[in-house]
Amino acid sequence: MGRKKVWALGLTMALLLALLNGCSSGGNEAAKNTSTTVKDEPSETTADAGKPVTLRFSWWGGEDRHAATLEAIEAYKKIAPNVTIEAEYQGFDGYEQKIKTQLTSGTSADIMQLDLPWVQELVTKGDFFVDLKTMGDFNASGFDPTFLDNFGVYDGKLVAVPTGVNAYCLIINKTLADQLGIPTDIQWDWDTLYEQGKKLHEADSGKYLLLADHAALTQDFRTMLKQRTGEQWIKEDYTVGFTKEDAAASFDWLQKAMEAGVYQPIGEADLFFGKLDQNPKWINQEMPMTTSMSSTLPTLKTVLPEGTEIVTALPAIAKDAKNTGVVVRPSQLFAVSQKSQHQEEAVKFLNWLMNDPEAAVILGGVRSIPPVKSSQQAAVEAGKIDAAITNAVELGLENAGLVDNSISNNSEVAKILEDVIQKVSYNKATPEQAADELIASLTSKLAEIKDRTQ
Amino acid sequence: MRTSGILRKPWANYLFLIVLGFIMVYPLLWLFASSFKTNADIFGSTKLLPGSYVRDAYSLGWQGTGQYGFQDFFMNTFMLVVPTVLFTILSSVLVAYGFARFHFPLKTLLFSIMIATLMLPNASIMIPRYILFNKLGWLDSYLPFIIPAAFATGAFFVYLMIQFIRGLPRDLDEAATIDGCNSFTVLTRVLLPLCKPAIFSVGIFQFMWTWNDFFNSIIYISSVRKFTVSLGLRLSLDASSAVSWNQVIAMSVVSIVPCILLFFLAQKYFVEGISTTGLKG
Amino acid sequence: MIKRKRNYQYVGLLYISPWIIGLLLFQLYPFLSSFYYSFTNYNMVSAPTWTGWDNYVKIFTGDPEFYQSLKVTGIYVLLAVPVKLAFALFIAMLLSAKLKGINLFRTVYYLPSILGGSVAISVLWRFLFMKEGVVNAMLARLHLGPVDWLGSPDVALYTLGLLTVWQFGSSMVLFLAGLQQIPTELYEAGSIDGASKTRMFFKITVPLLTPIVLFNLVMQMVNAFQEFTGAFVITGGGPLKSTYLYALKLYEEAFTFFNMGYASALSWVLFVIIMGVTAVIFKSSGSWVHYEDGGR
Repeated sequence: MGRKKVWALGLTMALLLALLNGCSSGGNEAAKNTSTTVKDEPSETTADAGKPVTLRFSWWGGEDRHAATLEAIEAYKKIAPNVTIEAEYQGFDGYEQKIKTQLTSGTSADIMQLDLPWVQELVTKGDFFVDLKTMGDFNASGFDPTFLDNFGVYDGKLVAVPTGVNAYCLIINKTLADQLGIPTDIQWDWDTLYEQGKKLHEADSGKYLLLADHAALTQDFRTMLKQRTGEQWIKEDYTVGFTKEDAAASFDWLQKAMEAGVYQPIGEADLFFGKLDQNPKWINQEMPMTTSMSSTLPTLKTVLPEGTEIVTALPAIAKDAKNTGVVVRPSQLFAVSQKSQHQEEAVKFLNWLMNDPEAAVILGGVRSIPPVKSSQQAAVEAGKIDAAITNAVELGLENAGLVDNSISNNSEVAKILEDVIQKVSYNKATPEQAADELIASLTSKLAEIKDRTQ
Repeated sequence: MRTSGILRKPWANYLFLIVLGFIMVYPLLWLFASSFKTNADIFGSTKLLPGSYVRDAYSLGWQGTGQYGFQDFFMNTFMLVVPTVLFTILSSVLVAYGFARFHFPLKTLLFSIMIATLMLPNASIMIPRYILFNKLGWLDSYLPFIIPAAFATGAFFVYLMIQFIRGLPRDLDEAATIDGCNSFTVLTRVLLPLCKPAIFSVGIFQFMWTWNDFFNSIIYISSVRKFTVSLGLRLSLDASSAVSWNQVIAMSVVSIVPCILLFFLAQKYFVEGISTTGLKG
Repeated sequence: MIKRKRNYQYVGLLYISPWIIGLLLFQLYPFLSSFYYSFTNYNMVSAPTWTGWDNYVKIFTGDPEFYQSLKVTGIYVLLAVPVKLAFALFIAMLLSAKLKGINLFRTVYYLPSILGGSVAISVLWRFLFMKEGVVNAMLARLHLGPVDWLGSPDVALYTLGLLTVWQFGSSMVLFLAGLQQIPTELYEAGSIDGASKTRMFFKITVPLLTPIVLFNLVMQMVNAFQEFTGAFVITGGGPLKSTYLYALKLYEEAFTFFNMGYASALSWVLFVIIMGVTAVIFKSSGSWVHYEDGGR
């Protein structure tokens, strides 16, 4: 019995192998087919005004964003009664996989919400999105031209528009900071963070100055590097943009800060990786500050008792910084599918959503601060946007640092840094060792990625 | 042995079951209690009972977000799960019977292929499968779940049934054949009644797994109108939006109720005595 | 391979025909595609390009994470599977007793498994096992701990193992069902012969339960090698990759980095490993699994 089974298993393998050898060309064929369908020209059919049209619109988000966006869709019915918009919304889980799967097989929605790194990756791999510049119905004049250029324009085509402006900032629980005697009106730098953090932790060993998971530490590290070198940490030509000394110095600060209790020990903090708002020490007001994107402010605020005052400030900037390193980026982007049967109608709707004051008031701050000036004003006047967020974005725009190139945001590259940061935070590597390891791993990974993309 | 349990005294049995049961269920009690807590209470405190009670988590959660609420998601889930479960039972019983009781060419090879289909991780076949269902025009419907179930693609269930059928003495079939049964009536009249525990296991597992499935559902189903409960539960989880966790947890609690009921009602079949007197032993 | 000639019963093929059709229609194409992808560089967005054995070479010679995840998975399988099965069998024996209210107990013991990998689980588990969580609070009352259950690289994998064992319900149900197949007369006969309970357990229960033990062993093993949810929602593979299970690595390659080709190669390596272990289990099963149908 047993022997027969083992034999059979072996045979299965052999059979599968044999089948597959014969089949690889067939698989290739199938793959070619899909890729050609992707490149298909858009359909000729453009809806005449008044003809009933159904558009699909997909986005991810939370309750508020869903409710507001649905309300906006409802309001659009009055403007274009012939257009029915089918909403495809969900939480963040699984959205990226779904969108990429849909784009590959040509089944995506007409209008979709995308994250910046995906857009940066997708534009290098295919012609998935409509160039909004060629569409007369889209008015891009309200957008900040540099912002649009930096994030929406690729190869001269406007393939996506920012849904909102998001800035990296310090989010401070002012009520708590005041109690603890921590200043909230200064421009922070790395030394003041260290000193204040050390002082706080020495006075009360249960308290830490900064809430951070390893992703936040990674961002801090990159900011520090950028301020030291004034350059991209990964250069356009797929090489490392910093020296061992730069990295070691930054790791050194991080390790010292960890030891002094400026940050909560990483083992405890990382349990809430990507869910900073669930960290009990933030909720129970034992940590007054965090460095984060401005859009996370509402989540961080709702877990605190009513009446707690939250303010924002510029993130730490070294006194001798060559570049502020402050990241300002779109919260997400909207794009129209190249495969859409009703591109004109889709673009019209997108134009309304971004530019119309009525839409702006309905949407408020559900995708962070609106990128179009007039929309922003309308939303602010309607009292729909938290002043602390507006403050963070304004400060960010005034002091914006170098705009990350797309290779700097590559997920595989980011992962390497995260791993090394963890080792440093757990004290499993000295700053020198970490710097060596980082440069070595990055160099080989970058070579691999370069190889793959060419 | 089965009449008095593993420990000598019934009270010892009870005591043990109660203590261990409490430990097993404690986390779920916490979950239930949390549906009445504020976010700050859920994440900030380790106490079981809420500091201040939130009473509307169930009613607000049930309404869902925007156009569709949990009554829709529950209906959808039933539309998806019920046919899937029935087809799974039907097809796996037939196929298992074939494997367990008959001798045919290439049987061992086919059996091995079936077991092998369990072993390739989902991640690498998801994309080709999606492409396939797209070509068949089945996206945004429940067909990618129901139709494969009708063709016994769940090797787990087939293998499970095989193991149970093989646990039944062949004398039963032979006796029935002598009484004039053909191969199909042997299955329906003799083996099926004896396989009840296994059939109910298959049904319960498939019900719960399909009920809880998230990853396949999110890929195949796009319209919120067709969302299942597990998709509904994660409809508003996003790192940069405030999440009312009490509502999410309340709906998690509600979502497991059908599974609990099903299990509670079906479990007597696992322990129904089977009499094979006179045939064996 | 010498086989005893026997008359074929072709009606058997008729019974398994639904499965054969399903295999050809729904499983063969995805399987072959993934095998093909494993020899390509494929990012889902542009067409795959043929790279020969590159992916496999990289797995074995250029990817330290592969060995780390393999090690973690190996420990996890060796640990979680036997403990879970033993526990499930033990509880099934307890719950097959004819006690009043046993229905309720059975449901209670199955409850944790109903939750599956739902979002609630991750919240729950973190709350129980964080440094200032419930478990440590209880230990403190016994003057023990605190243990850094999920934050320490030396402990986290075992804590995840605990979650798996906690969800022992499906194995338990199968054992319960299997126990019912054992004819009561055997025990009655045993009692008359004056056999002790322990003796009857090993002489009657265990042998007659072996087909189900085999099933549970194979399935739990296959599942443990592919275990994903717990680590994904609770630790994300950390701290310091101590819970970086193979499926996590695979998922990351496939759906974070969209290296579909490389991920497919990883799947096939795992496939071969599981296949090998299963083959060993099946090979050994001839000597310990007892079939009522006489093993025909």
